[in-house]
Amino acid sequence: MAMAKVLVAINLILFSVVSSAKEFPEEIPSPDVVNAYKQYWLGFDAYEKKLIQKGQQKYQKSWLSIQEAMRKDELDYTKAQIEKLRDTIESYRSHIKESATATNLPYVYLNLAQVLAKVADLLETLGESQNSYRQEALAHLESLQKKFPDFAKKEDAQYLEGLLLSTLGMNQKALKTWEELARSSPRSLYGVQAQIAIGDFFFDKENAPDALKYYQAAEKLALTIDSSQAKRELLRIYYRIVWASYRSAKLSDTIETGIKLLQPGTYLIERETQLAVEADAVQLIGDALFENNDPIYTKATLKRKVIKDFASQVAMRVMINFEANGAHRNTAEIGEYILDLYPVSKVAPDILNLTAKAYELANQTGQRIATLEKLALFLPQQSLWRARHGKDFQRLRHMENLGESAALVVSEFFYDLGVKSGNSNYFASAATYYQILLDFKPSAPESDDYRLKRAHCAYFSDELEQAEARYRELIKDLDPGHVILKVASHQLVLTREKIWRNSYARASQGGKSPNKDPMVVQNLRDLEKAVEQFANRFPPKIDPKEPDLAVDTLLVAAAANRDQGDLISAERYWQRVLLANPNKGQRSIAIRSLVMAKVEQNDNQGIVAITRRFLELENWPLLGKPLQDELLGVLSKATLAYADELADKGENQTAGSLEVEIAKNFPSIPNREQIYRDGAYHLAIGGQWTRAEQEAQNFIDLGLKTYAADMAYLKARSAHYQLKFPEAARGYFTFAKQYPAHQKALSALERSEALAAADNQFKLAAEAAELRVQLSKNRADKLAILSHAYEYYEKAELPKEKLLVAQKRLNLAKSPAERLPARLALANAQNEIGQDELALQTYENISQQALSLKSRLDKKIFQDVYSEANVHLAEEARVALNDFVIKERAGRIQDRTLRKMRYFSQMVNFLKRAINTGHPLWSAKARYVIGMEAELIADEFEGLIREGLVSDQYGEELATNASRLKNLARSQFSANLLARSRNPNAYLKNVWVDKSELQIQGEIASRDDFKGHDFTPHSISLGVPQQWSL
Amino acid sequence: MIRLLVISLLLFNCSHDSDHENLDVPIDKKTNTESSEPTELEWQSYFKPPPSPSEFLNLKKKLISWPSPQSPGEMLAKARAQSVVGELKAAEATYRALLRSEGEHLLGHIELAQIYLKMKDLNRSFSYLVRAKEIIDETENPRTDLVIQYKYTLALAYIERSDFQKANKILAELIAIDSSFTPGYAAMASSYLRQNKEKAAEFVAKRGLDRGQEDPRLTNLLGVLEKERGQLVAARRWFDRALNQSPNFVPALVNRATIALSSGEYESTRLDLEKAISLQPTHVEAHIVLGILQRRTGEFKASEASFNRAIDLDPENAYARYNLGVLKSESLNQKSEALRLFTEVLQIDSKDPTLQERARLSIDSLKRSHASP
Repeated sequence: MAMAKVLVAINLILFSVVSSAKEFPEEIPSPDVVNAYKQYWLGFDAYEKKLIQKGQQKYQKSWLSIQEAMRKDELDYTKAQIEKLRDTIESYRSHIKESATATNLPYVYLNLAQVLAKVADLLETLGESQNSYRQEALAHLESLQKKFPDFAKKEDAQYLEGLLLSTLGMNQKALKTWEELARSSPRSLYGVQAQIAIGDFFFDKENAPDALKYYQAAEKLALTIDSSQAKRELLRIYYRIVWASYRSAKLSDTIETGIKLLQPGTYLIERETQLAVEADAVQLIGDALFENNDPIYTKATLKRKVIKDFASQVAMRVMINFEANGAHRNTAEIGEYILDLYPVSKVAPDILNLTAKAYELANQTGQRIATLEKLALFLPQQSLWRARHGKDFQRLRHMENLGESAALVVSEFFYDLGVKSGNSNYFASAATYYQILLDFKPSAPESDDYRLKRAHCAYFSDELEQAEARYRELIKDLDPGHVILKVASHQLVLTREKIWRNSYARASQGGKSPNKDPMVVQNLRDLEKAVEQFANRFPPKIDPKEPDLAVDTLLVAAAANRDQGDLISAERYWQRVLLANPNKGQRSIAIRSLVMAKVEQNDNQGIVAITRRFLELENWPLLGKPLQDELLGVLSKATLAYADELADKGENQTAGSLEVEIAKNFPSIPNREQIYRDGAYHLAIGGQWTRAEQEAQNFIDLGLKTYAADMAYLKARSAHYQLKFPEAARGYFTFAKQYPAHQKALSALERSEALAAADNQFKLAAEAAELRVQLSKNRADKLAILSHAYEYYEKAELPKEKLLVAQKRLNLAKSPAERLPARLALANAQNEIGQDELALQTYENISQQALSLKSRLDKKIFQDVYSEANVHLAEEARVALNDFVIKERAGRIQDRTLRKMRYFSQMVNFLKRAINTGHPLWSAKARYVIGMEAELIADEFEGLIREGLVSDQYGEELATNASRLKNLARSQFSANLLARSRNPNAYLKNVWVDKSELQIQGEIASRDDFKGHDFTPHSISLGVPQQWSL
Repeated sequence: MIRLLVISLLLFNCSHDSDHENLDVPIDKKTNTESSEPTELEWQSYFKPPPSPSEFLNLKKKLISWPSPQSPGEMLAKARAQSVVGELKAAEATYRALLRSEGEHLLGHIELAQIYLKMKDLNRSFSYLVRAKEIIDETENPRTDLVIQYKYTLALAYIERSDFQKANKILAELIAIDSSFTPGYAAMASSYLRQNKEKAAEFVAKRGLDRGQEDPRLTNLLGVLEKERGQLVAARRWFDRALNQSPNFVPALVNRATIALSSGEYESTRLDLEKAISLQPTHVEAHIVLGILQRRTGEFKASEASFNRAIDLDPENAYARYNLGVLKSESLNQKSEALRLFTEVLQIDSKDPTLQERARLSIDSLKRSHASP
């Protein structure tokens, strides 16, 4: 023991140098040493094998030389015997010639004939011609019978003659000889032999019934002779009876006689002959039973105790006959019957095999397998069959062959059934028979395959610990070859995956957190270890035709980590899958899982990044549209969610850029329009107005419908924000016109109107206002907006449009407060397009109506309407006044001046109404016009005086009036200045006040408080950049 | 030889006048930026606040003994100093010297164009802008900051040429790139103010204040808008705000002086104006308002000198001529001179219709007084 330990240690040390650590799992501390040990034993095996082979060859050679020597000795012996017999023949011949009268002569004849017959037989063994000896023998026997008819040994001579004639084919002569012998020897053994020979003659002539008669006669005679020889003859007779009766269709005779043949220890004959006779008997009984075709009789016969030892063989013969005739059910029936009687007979394996075959051909799979199971159970070392018949080596080998085949069939059957049904009972059955096979042949080439399947059975029966141990045994302790090793390694992964999953479920059910359960965590680590080992040992192939197992294992590890909640590890495995040349299905799983991992982590940024990458880089025609659509759906949702997250953090620009890129790069993404729209809006909110405007335009150019209104609005809003007022004003208007139902339409029009007006695009402002009126629901708003439109058309110098708007406003107006300003606007428009009379009439009506309704009107409305209407009326009166030049008119000068003053008075009446309202603009204008016209009339009066067109007396009157008019003018101008000084803001930039001021410039310039007409500029920086340094 | 050069320059100017339509350059990937979409113009580096009075004096002193510059950088520094103290002619000469020594100096061309803008010489300003554009076009990757300076200067030139649409387009582009680009808002607002689009001007100026930092250019503009509306208190608040932000901002000093002047606060008017002129002796409006103040306080000769100084600085200034006309007609009894000046006001392409109307009324009044015995 101590010496063995030392040897092992030395071996370990010696071979550690050449080892390879890669074939061994990590838990082996020094794989190099173990490998060296293995190499040593492999070398030793080879040495032993060579020695055995050499010994076998030597033995074979010796045996052949012994056989050769023996044959030579036998030949020499036969030749020597023949020589001696020839010498005897010569001496007998000499004796007959020389002693013709001797008393022993008949005996000499008989002996000579017998020796000649013997020489003929010996020569026959040497392959030489012998008939001349037999002919000579017959001739000597004939001489004997003639010369010595009463010879005492006459029966012997006849018997030899019969034999020689039969041997020479002289059957008729032989028959006569046998018949004579039978007649002459009715109570002797020669009579029995003669009867047999006659029977044989008929049997050879295919006359079995006659043959049977002689055989049965021989039997009868033999039974009367009390000698061992007669008993031996009986065996020959029974044997012939069996055959003859069978040929004569006397089957009961066959069976009964056959049974006699099978009785043990009856005759002392050679064992080989006995076996041959028994075999024939069995065969013929079986054939007879088959021919009889009576199942009850057959079973009854088989059950008879007298043939107990041969019943199974007979039954098998019957079964073979049935099977040869296609009677599978009969075969099986007999098989089952005999197996029931003798389940472990010597031929039970054959019967079981035959029965199984019959069941197979009868499509009775269940019975077939059940039968094969019985057969397979003979195989184990401790089986009863082995105990009983194990010493019959050939039988044993035969049984082992059949048993092995049966065990294989049964194991495969149950394994397949298990795989198909998932029923663990089938795997358990399969495991039993694989184990039988393994016990039977532990080292056969196919044993590792059985081991693998045995492990599979454990795996599928959920005996996971056992399965793991078996797979590990295959991987570590055995050398099963690449294919099995790969499958075992892969199965080890799956087994550990199941072990982990079961522990995970147990922990969950027990209320524990699987992530904290050390057992679950350890099981997961074990699984990962198995995966790593598999992936390292069987790296993924490039362009595999079938799903790569390495990739599958990585997917298993990934799925386990995912379920364990370790998504980071899971992602690492899925990423490895993508790099490992997976096939379409595996790639799809990895991609989908990676995306779903991000989804589970609620990592929208990650989802967007990963789905974008896949969608941009993967070969989608190969992977398929469904997955692509799925990823697009995920990307769509994640993009919107992630953009919201970014926006919440204030990163609108990033959000917008992302959404816009996604929408542009993935035209088929769900909710594309929404993503695009949100992106553009986020860009805008993030201050990227230029890009927002560009994207809005691009959206519109792409012809996208949903949210097109929002984008049209955004386009205008962006331009607005960028201070591109013309574009913004036009954009808002276009948007509102195209999408009037949009919630922003009204505000857009408001903006369009304001921007256009600020940018002096009054026509656009007016159009926007008009459209705004259409969309507004409030009548007061509509009226106000129409008044704006009116002003814009006025500034745009579009009188016809102005008239239409005024008309619309009037149509909409209801109360006097609404109608009066509307009518005034309409009158102004009419006036502008030349409808003077109509306008004047309207002004007059407005004036009267406003006055009559003054108490009910708002003060400002009254001021506005009444003052302006009267100023317009005054303008008409002023035209008449200016048209009337006194000196150009006919009539009396007094009348003309009076008329002029009347015109002036008419004008002043209108203007005074305006002045009385206190309206800053119209009252100032009214005063200025009165002043100016008064000065002009004064000038005209003074001109008349200067030109002497009036009398002195009337001239004085006119000069006085002229002076009064000038005073009136100054008072009006001064009143304007006074009004402004009282309320400067109301009269700011009031041109009528400014003009009035200039009219009385000389007077006020002399005043102490006069500040002059200077005009202060404002200063605005030019905005030129400046860079300076000291 | 000199004649040939002059003719060549004239032809050069003429030929480039016709190119004003296409003077803008895009800011695209061609320009040398780290990102294709710049988000900041870094304009603050070339919009330095005006010097304080002491800094101004130091600059002036330094310029007297400034050694003859050799390198382009030195020449540029001297020209800038000359420009900021109002020595525009000297600055022009320095810039020209720079461009003679280095004909492709882009910044030199741009800044010389700015000098001509200050000098109200639009033709020359455009000539140098045209050349600057050529340099930009010829450069494979022009510096973004220079391209932006060029575009901004071009916008200012367009405003001065009353080509407001083109100016605003460029300014909107610059604002879109950097929403805090206050000078852009100020220029755009002044453009609208010149077009009498007060609402648009106010919108732009306030938007500039919302998006960018507090800037005296914008607050001063809003003050001017309030002043135009007669809201003098509100206007004064804006000007004060501008001066709180930048005490040496001359336009706000001048505008605050006009408010004080209208309320009869002559002393504070004088203080603001004196400070303004000390900071920027070439500021035309400061001299005009000072002339008005002097007229009101009876300093007629001084007033006349102030108005004449303003006319010397900007012969096209209608306010200078109008107010000198008022001085001559109402205070110096020089009616004929006044009539000439008022008539010249009508001949100047002034954007202020009220001033035009005043001039017209003054002419009528003068003629009538002439006619009367």
